[in-house]
Amino acid sequence: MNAVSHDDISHLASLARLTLTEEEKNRYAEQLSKVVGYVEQLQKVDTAGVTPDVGVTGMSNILAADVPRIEGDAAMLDPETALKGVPLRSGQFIQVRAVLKGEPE
Amino acid sequence: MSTKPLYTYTIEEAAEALKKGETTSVALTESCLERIAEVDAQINAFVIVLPELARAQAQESDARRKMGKTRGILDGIPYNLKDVYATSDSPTSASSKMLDGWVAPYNATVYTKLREAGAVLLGKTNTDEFTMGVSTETSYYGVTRNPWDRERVSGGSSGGPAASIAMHMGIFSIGTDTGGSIRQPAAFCNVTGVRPTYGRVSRWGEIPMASSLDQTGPITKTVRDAAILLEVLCGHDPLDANSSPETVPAFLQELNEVVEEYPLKGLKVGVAKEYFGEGVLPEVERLVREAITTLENEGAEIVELSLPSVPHALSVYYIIAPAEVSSNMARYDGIRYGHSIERTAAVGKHDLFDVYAKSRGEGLGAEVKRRIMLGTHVLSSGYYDAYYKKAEAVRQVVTQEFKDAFKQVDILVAPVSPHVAFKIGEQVNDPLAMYKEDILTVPLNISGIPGLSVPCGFYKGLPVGLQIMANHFQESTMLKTAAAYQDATIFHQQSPNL
Repeated sequence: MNAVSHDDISHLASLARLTLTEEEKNRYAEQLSKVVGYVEQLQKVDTAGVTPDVGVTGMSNILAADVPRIEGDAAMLDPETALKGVPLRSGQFIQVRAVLKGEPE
Repeated sequence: MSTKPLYTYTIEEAAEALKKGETTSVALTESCLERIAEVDAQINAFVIVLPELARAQAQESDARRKMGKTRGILDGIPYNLKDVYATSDSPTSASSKMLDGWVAPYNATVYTKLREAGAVLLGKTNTDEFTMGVSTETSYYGVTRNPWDRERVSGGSSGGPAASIAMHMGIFSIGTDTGGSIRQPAAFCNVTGVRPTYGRVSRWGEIPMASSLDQTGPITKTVRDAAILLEVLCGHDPLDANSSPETVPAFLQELNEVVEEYPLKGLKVGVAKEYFGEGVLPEVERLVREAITTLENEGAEIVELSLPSVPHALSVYYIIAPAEVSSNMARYDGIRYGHSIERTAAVGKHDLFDVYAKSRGEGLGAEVKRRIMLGTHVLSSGYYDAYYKKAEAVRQVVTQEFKDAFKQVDILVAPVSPHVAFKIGEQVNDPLAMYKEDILTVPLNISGIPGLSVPCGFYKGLPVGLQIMANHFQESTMLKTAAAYQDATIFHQQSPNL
């Protein structure tokens, strides 16, 4: 199961929203196959009885206090500051191309 | 008082000189700016130098000192930041075309803390693109050259910070370590680099690579300087859900309490054979073994042991890290900020998918794309259990081995890298070979334990680093060990002749 084909790469690029050239696709197919072949070694490790856990802190369900951010708070941004990097705007909205495909007009 | 140039000072020396009124923050800052102007063209450590900002911060510091309102040991000390921290007063690029020229709308907690401590920001230093690499060769702004041999890499991803401190272009630097990105460049450039326990330093405003592995730490000229910075940087931050509530010790004071004769008496130092396996250069092993003997001479007891799962850590890392990369990099969508075809393409010629895919295709470099693809693959339907879930399980096995080892010993020592800095361009077309560069540093990252690199000698004129690791939140023990080692050796005092 470790070879990654040119078709696999096209599929992954689509899932990852990346435009790749044919040359990039060929190169990534070869390189990813090698890396995936290498990490196959993990299949040999006995993990029976190990509960997979994500991360190492042992902390869980860290909740923030349910209070509104106030001005001066590091996580508080006014709309103009928050929107200053947006490439396409309509007033205080971020303008996005049509999400649903359908008949135009 | 010595007549050595101000830019060569350590934090302790600079703070002492400021306190005694022998110099000013402005003088220290000008000295560092001149040094950067003089030598950085040959190294390329900086992505951007910020002379106006630095001068303003230095003047404020001097004014505070005059009024008796100085803020502590870092007040007035010039430094640089790896270019991965959000700052609202200057650009942040992560060394990527995606963020070229971007100014963040807010400040990272790391920057806020350093500003509040009064430190003076000289500029931002180079990294592999979005910290993905081991050599700074994936930076959009070009490679950072190794000050000891400019045909070689400075290491990575924190190659800019490490090379800048080796060349005294700043009194200290701050970097990140996801798979070895502080320790390996520190080893390659002959400086001190510390990666604290995962969760010690807030990740708020730090541009993420792999969120369960990323951790900020200092790159300095001495272990004692690193202890000073850890006291400032560590601590709970409600803005980072993985930030640890553990108490932060007075690291520098603890170093001052160490007794002079046999400072390491009673310390058990573990040496695991898996860190000296195939691929480790015999000369590197010899220098690390000599360093272990030095620790023994300082009073430590050496314990040989085995960590049988450690050789699997690299595979665990190159599943989990790309998986988290593929998720984290989704934020660069061409819609909210960063590179976008919406800024350049003719209106109406593209749909939403194009905005995502073309903006990302144009804005991201080859290594970043490779890791996004790899991460998407290991997380995709049909492969998730075999790769990602298995890797998380093996991660627990490795972590448990470390925990068991720390029941027998206080610290572990090992080489940082299997070899010395390699030649620029030598491995750029072989990603697997590049990934294997991380083989001795990633076991620590997947387990979340702290570690550091200190200079331990030279092979053919190129620096070698000693890696010292401790159990979760036991930074004090590894700092004491490393400080005692630096007291007994002079490798860290060597500077390159450019």
